[in-house]
This record gives sequence, structure tokens and C-alpha cells, in this order.
Amino acid sequence: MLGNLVQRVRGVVLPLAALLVLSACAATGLTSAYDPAIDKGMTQYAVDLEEHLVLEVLQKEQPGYVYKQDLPFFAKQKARLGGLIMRAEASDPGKGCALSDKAVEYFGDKLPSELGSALKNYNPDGDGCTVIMLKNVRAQLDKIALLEKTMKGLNQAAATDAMNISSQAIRAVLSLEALKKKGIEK
Amino acid sequence: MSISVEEVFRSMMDAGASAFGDNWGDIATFAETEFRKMAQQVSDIASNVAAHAKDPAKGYDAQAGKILMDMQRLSTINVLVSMSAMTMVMVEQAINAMLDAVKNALGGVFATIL
Repeated sequence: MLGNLVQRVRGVVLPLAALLVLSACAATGLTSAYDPAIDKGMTQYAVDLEEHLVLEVLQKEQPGYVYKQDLPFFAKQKARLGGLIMRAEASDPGKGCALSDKAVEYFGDKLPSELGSALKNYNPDGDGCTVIMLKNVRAQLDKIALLEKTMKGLNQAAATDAMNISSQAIRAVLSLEALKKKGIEK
Repeated sequence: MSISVEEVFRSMMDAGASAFGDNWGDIATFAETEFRKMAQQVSDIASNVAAHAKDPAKGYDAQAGKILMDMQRLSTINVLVSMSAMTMVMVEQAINAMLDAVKNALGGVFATIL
């Protein structure tokens, strides 16, 4: 009788338990789901930023450039990114961004000091992966504002580098969303 | 400051392969593209600061270079965070595909609990 019970446990209950554990993992999710609003919002942000940087170079070449005229652009984009961050926080499964702290820590030791030193201060503060990335994009926007203020407008070299660097941060968000979307479409 | 793009790129790729282990193959294409751009960008910033020191009409000064390098650090973190998240998404998608296969195989028996 005991042998029968053990066999039943092995034959039915264990696989069932394994399936329940797996289904629980899938249901709760390790990362947030695909969000078309973040996908579209980041694409539009990239377009607007590029347009702003092109204009910035043209304006610097004109007499009478003042940084103040750029403020509405920064206010609008910061508000847009704030909205996307709020959206990402709302759908965050609340498990932080697993693996990222280990990856950043590992790379911090391996990269040239120009990049590696800052990675050692990485503190995601329990945020999900998308939230972390969107906050970094917003922090970059602040840096662009500072750059324009410091340089009294951007020359071509600074504008090109600012766009290339920002594009990389934006692409990181979009590539992840594209992978999530691909999973839904399968 | 002279930076070898190829050297920086290689060190990033080695670190990536080592850090992401078995999952590296799935994200290597994304990483390779981004690591190369990252290495090139660090080199460009250094070149622009050096060019400005020689001729103020070219490149940009060290203060602007520092701001751009701060931006590049944020992009580097985003690439690493994205790679980590992609790894998790692929694990999730694999689990979901497996569950779908089981659900289809077992038909209505487990449909309600899965």
C-alpha cells in the first residue's frame, strides 16, 4: 500500500507540482510585459531629441542665441519621460532587475576606468529593468541641458556625440521591448 | 588620452561572454553592436577634447567631455541592464512555450490550472 502511494506521488503529484511551480513563475513574471506606450513614447522621444539637436547646432551659428529658449523643450521631454517612468513603475512586477547588479559589478572591474569607475556606484534601488533604463534616459536629458547651458549652445561635434550616446540608451529600452513583443506575436 | 577602440571592444566582449555564460549566445549580437559603439564613443570623446586643446574651433573642452562621458556611463548601464532583462525574458518565453506545449498535450485535463 505504501509502495502504491509512493508510486502515485512520483507518477502524478510530482509532475503536477512541477507544472504548478512553472505556471506560477510564468504568471507572476520576472520582467514587465511589453508596453506599446513605452515603445512608441521612446521612439517619439528619439525623433524629438534629434530634431532639437539639429536645431541647436543651427541656432548656435546664429547671433543672439540664449539657453532660455531651449527650456520648453526640456520641460516637455522631462514630462514625457516622467509619464513613461510612472507607467513602467505601475506594471513593474516588483522583483527588481535580477542579474543586472551582477552584470554591472562584473563589468565594472573589466572595463576601462573611464567607464568602469561609475559602474561601481550602480544602485538600482529595487527598480525594475525598464524603470532603471528610463530613469537613465531622463538623467541623460538633464546632462544635455547642462551641456547646452555650459557651451552656450552645441556645436556639431558635441551635438553628434550627445545624440549617439542618447541613442544607445534609448535603443537599450527599445531592443528589450522588441524582444518582449516578439514573444507575444509567436 | 589615447584609447584603442579594438582593445576596449575586445575587453567588453570577453567580459560579456564570461558574465552571461550559457546565455551569451542569445544576446551576443545585440552586445557586439552596442559594445563596438560604446568603445568608439569613448574614443571620440577623447579625440574631441584633444582636438579642442590644440584648436579651440574644433571639438569641445574638457568640461563638455566630462558631461558626455557621464552620459556614456548611463548608456553603458542601460546596455548591461537591457542584456540582463533580455536574458530573463528569454527564460520566461522558454517556460511559457514549454507550458503551452504541455497544455496542448494534456488537453482539457490541466487547462483550467494552467
